[in-house]
Amino acid sequence: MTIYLPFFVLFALLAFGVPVAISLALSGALGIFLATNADVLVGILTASPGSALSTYELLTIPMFILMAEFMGVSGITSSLFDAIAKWTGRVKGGVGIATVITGAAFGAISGSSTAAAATLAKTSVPAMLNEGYPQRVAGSIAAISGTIAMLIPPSVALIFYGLLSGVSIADLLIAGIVPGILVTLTIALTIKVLLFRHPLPESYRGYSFQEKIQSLKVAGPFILLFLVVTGLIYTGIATPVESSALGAFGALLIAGKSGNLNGERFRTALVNTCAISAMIGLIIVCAHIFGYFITFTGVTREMVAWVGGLDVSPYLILAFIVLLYLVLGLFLDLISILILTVPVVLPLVISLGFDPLWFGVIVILLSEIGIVTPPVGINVFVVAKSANIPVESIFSGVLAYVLALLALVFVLIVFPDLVLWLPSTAG
Amino acid sequence: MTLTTLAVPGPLAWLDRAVRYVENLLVGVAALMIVVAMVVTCVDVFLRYVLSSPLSWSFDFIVLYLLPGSYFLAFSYALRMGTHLKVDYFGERMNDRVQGVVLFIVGLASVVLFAYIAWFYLQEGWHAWVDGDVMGGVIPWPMWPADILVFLSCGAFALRLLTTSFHQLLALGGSRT
Amino acid sequence: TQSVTLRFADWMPESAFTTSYGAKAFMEKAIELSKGQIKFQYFPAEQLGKGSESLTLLQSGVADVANVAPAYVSEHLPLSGVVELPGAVTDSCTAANKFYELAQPGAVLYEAEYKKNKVRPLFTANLGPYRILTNKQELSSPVDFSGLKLRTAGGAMAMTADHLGANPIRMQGSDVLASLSRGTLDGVFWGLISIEDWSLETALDQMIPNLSVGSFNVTYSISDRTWNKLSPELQEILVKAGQYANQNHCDYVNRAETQAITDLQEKHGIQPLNLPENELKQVQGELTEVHKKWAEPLNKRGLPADEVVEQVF
Ligand code: NA
Ligand code: NA
Repeated sequence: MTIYLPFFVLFALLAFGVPVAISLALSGALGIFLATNADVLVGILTASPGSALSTYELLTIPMFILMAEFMGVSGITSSLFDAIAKWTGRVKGGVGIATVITGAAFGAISGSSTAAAATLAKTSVPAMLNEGYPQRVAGSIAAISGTIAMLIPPSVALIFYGLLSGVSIADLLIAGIVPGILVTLTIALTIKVLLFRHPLPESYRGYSFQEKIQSLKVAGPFILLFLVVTGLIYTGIATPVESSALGAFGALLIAGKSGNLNGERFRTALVNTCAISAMIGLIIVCAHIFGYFITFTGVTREMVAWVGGLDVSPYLILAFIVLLYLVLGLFLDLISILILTVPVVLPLVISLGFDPLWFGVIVILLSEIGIVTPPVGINVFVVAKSANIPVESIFSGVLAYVLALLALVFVLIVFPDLVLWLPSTAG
Repeated sequence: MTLTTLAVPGPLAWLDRAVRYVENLLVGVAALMIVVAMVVTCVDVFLRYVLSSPLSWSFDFIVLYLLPGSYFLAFSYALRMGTHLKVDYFGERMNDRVQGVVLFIVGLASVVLFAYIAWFYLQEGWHAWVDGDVMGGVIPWPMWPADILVFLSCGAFALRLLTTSFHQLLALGGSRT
Repeated sequence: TQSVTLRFADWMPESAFTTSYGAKAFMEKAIELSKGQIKFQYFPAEQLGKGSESLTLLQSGVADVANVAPAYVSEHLPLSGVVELPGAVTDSCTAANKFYELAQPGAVLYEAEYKKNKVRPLFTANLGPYRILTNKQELSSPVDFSGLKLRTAGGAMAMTADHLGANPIRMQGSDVLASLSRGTLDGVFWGLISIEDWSLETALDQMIPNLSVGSFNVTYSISDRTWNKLSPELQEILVKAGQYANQNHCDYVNRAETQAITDLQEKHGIQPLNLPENELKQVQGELTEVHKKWAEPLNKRGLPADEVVEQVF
């Protein structure tokens, strides 16, 4: 009973719309009190804010957020789609494909899927609608393409997983690249298959060579930032913290050069960064409190022991874990899922003989699927709102992509080297 | 219904304005700290690679002051802006009054929680100041600013939680004063 | 008879040798001596909190026993940082026993800082002397440290590096290997016995095995609030188990240090550069300046830093 009550309270508070952080703090406090006593509870509550943040690598998160904010100011993120669409104009399903590629490219400068979906909804959805794509198709392509951003570095989710699991953040960021590209290809392939089965009246539009070269203007800053962030980490020249600060600084220079930067926009970019960092910081502190409850229950140790005593294939248990993530993904956002599950599930996964680096990528891919599934699918809500498309029609359109990505998860489970190879070659 | 359309009793409006002033100030400090963290880290990389003499103090400085500053000082501002993550799905399908009462009670519980944390860190900061606590090393960084950062962040957050809780309660009763 | 379960918070991982030869040896001994009256709920690997939280965990009652590393709580246990001074530790057992003695009631360290923090050290684990190791052939004799970028754990070791004319760098342990390989670090202050735990042997080429530039100590302490609730018999048993673990751990470190010097040279080709006697004396003499620099601000705060230095050296 003492174990279940705090979990029940947690889910009740979440359901009532209490902020995730406060739900974690209050239910965690109740759990600690039930498991120990009031003295211990007070000790933990007061120690948490001072200690939850003492990890130098946490600096990467505000720096990467700031980088994406400055890139937003530069205006390059919004012209990205137009530039890419000029190159795919003659391809069947070209605007759709351009949307996916834009999602991947956007991922190289932003660590947030929702920001990616919002940008795609504003730029690529109108273009797809113009081409005659039904709302359902256009909205679902934008919503699903947003998810790539969490795998391609930088990624707040991968950093967060690294902090929770102790896995090297540099390795995680590099490990996201190949799966990120595979997700891009999977979505593009699914678009092709869908178009083959239900052809659309498309106007193929070619662009002149000059127009194409012109469009490369946005490529320069992009490649620069990608090299700074991912290149430096891959070669081992800079640590993730250093590359995140250099990335933010580089984005500031790009914003300055674009001519769009002024005092007001600089201020807004910083204030937005502060607000998002505070949101994450509060969750970190409160999850720290909830984490004590989990530790005191000993539930992790018991589960590892229990599963260890079962005489079943590790893959059967893995299948169960995959299912668990899909269910959590129906309701919860990525950060909450990571905080609630990684401390409990990871020791189990390691005891089954799986690689924690590989598991991080799998977990993030599964949770990414969750952000486009009903009833709570943040990416779908964002696209629906900014493109003015009914939520239900995007949810129905996204189903095919979800199935395709589940197939990809299966492939990554069978061939873990697809995830592990690139980081193993890093300097 | 937005907050501004509600007739808000005087003391609450006054508290709201006061907290607004404080949290704008805190967000300004947080923003400054993020810029300083960016610049210090970039300068450190430059000095290391180009002049081969990196800063020896940046690590402690960032972990002790800039990280808590960047992550904590905007707690309250983020609450005002609605940035904190929450699940809306079930609440939207719930009786407004029931939800409103629950949110009010939970809000007051959180006020107590964060006010207590703020009070604790104020005392810690005071002791650290009186005892002259420093982090050992080439630069003896004083410890009290780290405690005071938590005090300010959680204190402002508690006050903002107080105003939002009462606004929620008022919203239940419509525009009655 | 009284039976008690103690919550034991350790920031070190279960795999660390200090956990095996210190924490676990202590627990096993205490269980054995008490015939099972004393039990432990052991939380390794930061499960209850980081090293910097150890004192808070004890004071608040979250833990009864904790691994308290003075270097991580230097603001609360500044005098215990004396082991980080150059030359303070040459032999792990001498150092651990001396420190244990000074941290017991009535002695200077206990009275000056453990008492105030409401904790009592049951035993000490000393990780042996820290040495200077460098990549490439950075060191020559006579030794010139000027301009070398050396990673230290901060605190007094940073002051030592500074005093030698080197540039003390702080970075996370996990970043050290990469920084050595790409040359953004020239070397480290490190315990020879834990070089292989961090795979640093592949990136290092030279070491000075006979110059001690500091050390790292942890104490396993019990909170006063828990201590005072225990019967005198159980207190006695914890003291005995602590003394046993104190010796057990330092014996291991001394054995391992001798082995490590051989291994680093023969298996990994790290060349030892033992300073000639006269030069060693000269460097050690210069480094007593660090002792003064370390003690001065503490003396000013009314802490008996001079007395602690005198007792240790
Ligand atoms: Na990304
Ligand atoms: Na969902």
